[in-house]
Amino acid sequence: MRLLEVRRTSGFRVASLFFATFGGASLALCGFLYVDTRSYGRKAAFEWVEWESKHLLNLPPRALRERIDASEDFAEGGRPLVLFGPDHARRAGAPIPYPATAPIGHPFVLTQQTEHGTRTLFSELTRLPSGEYVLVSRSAKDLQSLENALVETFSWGMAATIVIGLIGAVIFGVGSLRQNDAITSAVVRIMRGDLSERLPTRGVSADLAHLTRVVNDMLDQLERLMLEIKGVNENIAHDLRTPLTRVVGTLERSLRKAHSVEAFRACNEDVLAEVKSIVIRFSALLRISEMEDRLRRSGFTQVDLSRLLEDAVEYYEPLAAERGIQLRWTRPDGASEVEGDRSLIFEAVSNLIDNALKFTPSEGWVEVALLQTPTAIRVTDNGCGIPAEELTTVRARYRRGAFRADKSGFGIGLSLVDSIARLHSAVFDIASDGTGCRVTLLWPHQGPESLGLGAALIEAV
Amino acid sequence: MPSVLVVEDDRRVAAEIGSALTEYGFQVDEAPSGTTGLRKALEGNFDVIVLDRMLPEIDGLSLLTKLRAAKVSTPVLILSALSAVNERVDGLRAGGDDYLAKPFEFIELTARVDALARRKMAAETVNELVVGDLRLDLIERVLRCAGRDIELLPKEFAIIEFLMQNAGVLVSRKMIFESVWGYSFNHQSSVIDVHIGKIRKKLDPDGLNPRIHTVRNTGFILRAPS
Repeated sequence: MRLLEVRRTSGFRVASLFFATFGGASLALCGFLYVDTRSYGRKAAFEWVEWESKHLLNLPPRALRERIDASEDFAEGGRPLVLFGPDHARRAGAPIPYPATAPIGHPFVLTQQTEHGTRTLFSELTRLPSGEYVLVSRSAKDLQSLENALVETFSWGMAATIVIGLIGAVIFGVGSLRQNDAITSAVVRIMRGDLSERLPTRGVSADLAHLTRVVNDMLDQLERLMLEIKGVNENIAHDLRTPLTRVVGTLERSLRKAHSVEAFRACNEDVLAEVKSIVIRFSALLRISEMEDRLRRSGFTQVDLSRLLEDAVEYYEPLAAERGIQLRWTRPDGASEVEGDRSLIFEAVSNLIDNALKFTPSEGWVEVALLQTPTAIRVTDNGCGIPAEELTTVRARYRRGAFRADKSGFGIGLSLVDSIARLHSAVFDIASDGTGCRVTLLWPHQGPESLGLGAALIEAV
Repeated sequence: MPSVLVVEDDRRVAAEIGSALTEYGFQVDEAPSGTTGLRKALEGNFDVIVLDRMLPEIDGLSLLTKLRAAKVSTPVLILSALSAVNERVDGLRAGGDDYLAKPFEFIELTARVDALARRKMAAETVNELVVGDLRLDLIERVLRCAGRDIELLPKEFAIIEFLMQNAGVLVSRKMIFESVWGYSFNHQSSVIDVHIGKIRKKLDPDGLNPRIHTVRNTGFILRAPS
């Protein structure tokens, strides 16, 4: 069963394909070597036969006869000579009958049936001035042995290639099956609800490791969102219970104690105020989840930040003046445009200025600055600042610093700013040295994937 | 008496809207579905249509598109439980004149319907707005109050222009913010009150003849001093 699975794995298939290709190339090379060696051997044999025929013709008859007689008992694989009379009858030399169909004066292949089997000779038949014929031959046995040895070697080589290839493919297949098993079991654990589980990245091939890393990043993001949703749900429950309890209390009180229209009206107004505050909290929460919907980016346009900040400063100027706070506005010379939703960016900026004004005492100052390269909006104040231990948690949803308990506000503003920043691929950062706050919305040039660089960039600005 | 068509499938919400608008002085007709709404809108001559986004049979946006295709230019206020900015943009693109996300305050709804009804009536361009002893020259961009020139910042001018256009009508803080600053989000702040306070002081330094009146928790009304 597992063997069948191995056969279906991509590792096995890729390895098989590789070895099949390699085997095919080797087979072609062997075939070429075989054909080339064979034709070279035959050519050399024919050349020898031709040369030997010419040499024998130049010998005196006596010497020729002696040579022919000497080859009467030629061994297999030797070089037999035969002398035939004008009547084609054998007169001397090796026991080979006259080849009736052979051409005179041209080399040819002579096949002969013997009691040991078929014998192949490379031969040439030459006519002597005396009318006799001389057959000069050379056995093909050596060449055939070489050819057989070649075929045998190549066959063993191919067999070894196939076996090694198959073993390799199985090893690859098993490896890829193991990777799949590890990934599958991790996925199953995640599906069962263990969101902290991650896909294995060690012991998997490089291309798969890249994919698993991306999936793990996605899981990190999902886990974060799930935890945030969980946190938000807990916070909704916590935060809505209080005003709902007050609503119930007021309604019950009105039924119990109110006896006049005025008393009922007063209760009614209290309930209405509570319900409105519930609606405001609820809308803010919905807006944060709305930010997570990246579809909103489809409505993005070029936003002139300079104009937008000017509007925001103009909007808050009278409030700052009324509270005795100096609202400064520092703008660069050139235009700074980013792609985004102008209403959302205005909402983020107004949240930041609103907060700064809220936590800056009279006689203090709030500075709104637009920075370039990289583009950033910075709101600085010399208010009460944020204690170091609060900084990391201050951005968490619904977190309202205990030190701010005396100020109004739902504590959801910074979470909203954070969500708006993330939607715009910007980085939101809060810094505080104990005397005032410095909040920055920064657009890294490299795009959303470089968000990790945000903190370093903010320090650099 | 201006007439309003309310196209809303939720009977209770429709009844509340109808009641709020009738109390305010509008003549109200109701349609519980998209088809009925479209038929009534095409047949009747309404001053404003209040249109719910989600309706049975024909949805609000399709109804609006059909209405505009039939050259009916009655101002439309779209109501929706979908508050996303894209939804708002879609609504306005389809030919809506204003957008209000649920849950809304009924006083805000009536203020917006009233503003739309007035906009229809005063569609022609004007060069000057006059409310009692207030004269706003839109060409020279000068405000005269009881015969004296009042110096205004650009945004203050825009606020008083909006208030004078809607003189005698309740306008919410959100309406002022959207009209003057041109950004759209549901912000809860008293900043508009500070702007109004500054304008009030410029118009009436002694506080003897109040012209801009605050309506608690809702907005403001500009009225000529009695």
